[in-house]
Amino acid sequence: MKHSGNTQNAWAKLAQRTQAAPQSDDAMPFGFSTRVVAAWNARPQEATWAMMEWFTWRALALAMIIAIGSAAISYDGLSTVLANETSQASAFIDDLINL
Amino acid sequence: MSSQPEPAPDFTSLVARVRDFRDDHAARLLVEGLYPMVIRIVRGHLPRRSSEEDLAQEVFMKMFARMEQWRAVMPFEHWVSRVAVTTCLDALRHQKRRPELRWADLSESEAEMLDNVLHDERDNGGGDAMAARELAHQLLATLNPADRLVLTMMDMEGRSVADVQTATGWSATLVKVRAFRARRKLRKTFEQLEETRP
Repeated sequence: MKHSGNTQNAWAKLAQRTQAAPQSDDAMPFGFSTRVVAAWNARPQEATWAMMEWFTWRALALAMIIAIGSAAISYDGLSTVLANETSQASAFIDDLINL
Repeated sequence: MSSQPEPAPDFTSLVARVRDFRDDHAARLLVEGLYPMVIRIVRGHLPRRSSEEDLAQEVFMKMFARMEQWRAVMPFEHWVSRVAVTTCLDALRHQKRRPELRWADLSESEAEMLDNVLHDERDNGGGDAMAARELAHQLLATLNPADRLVLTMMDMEGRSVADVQTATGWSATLVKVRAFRARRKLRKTFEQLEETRP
């Protein structure tokens, strides 16, 4: 390719040249902090929602871990039920009938 | 005589005052202390047609809303910088369409800069730095948000892989892979630009 040699390091050269650009002024616009704090005070419920969101995701993750753990622990029982081998339950019901 | 540098504000005690007492004065001091860092991040990753002041305000609103989640295992300013980076990333993701860049879309100074980086074999670092920055932003806008973020931090701001990891929470491998892929995509964009050259 004719142009591949030129394009190979074009980005690196360009990125290097951007470093010489003057930095913008970091000074805060007048009244910015007052506006932000006023907006924060106007929406006090956001913190509560954010906390609920945070806990909801964790609760969901915990519930999934518990569900997977329970399924793993009771795998034998579940597989028996799914395979329709409910002899133990049938025996219990027979005992109840015979009483 | 050089003036004494201002002592760094104690963010931890300010955060405690905001969290426990909703202290407005402490909240204002937090905004004032963190503004230079936040605005630098916002300017570096600003999506097209977004106001940097609006985006900075959004970062601070998220900072206040999620303040309860901050644990003192990392300095507060690092945590805020991560909030700022993720806010910018979300803003970039909302910008659905990525423009396809053609030679005709470039201004005269940008086209000259592009010609310079493509054909000038001497790496003399010369030329209009502002045009270089504008062209770089145009090229970065063609990438997906995550790739754009990585290249902005590493190549334009000169940050290390570890810095990007801290700011984004991504693994070192993911950062390196994204940087590699993004540079490859840019190489293709340079080739396409060459093909659309009048």
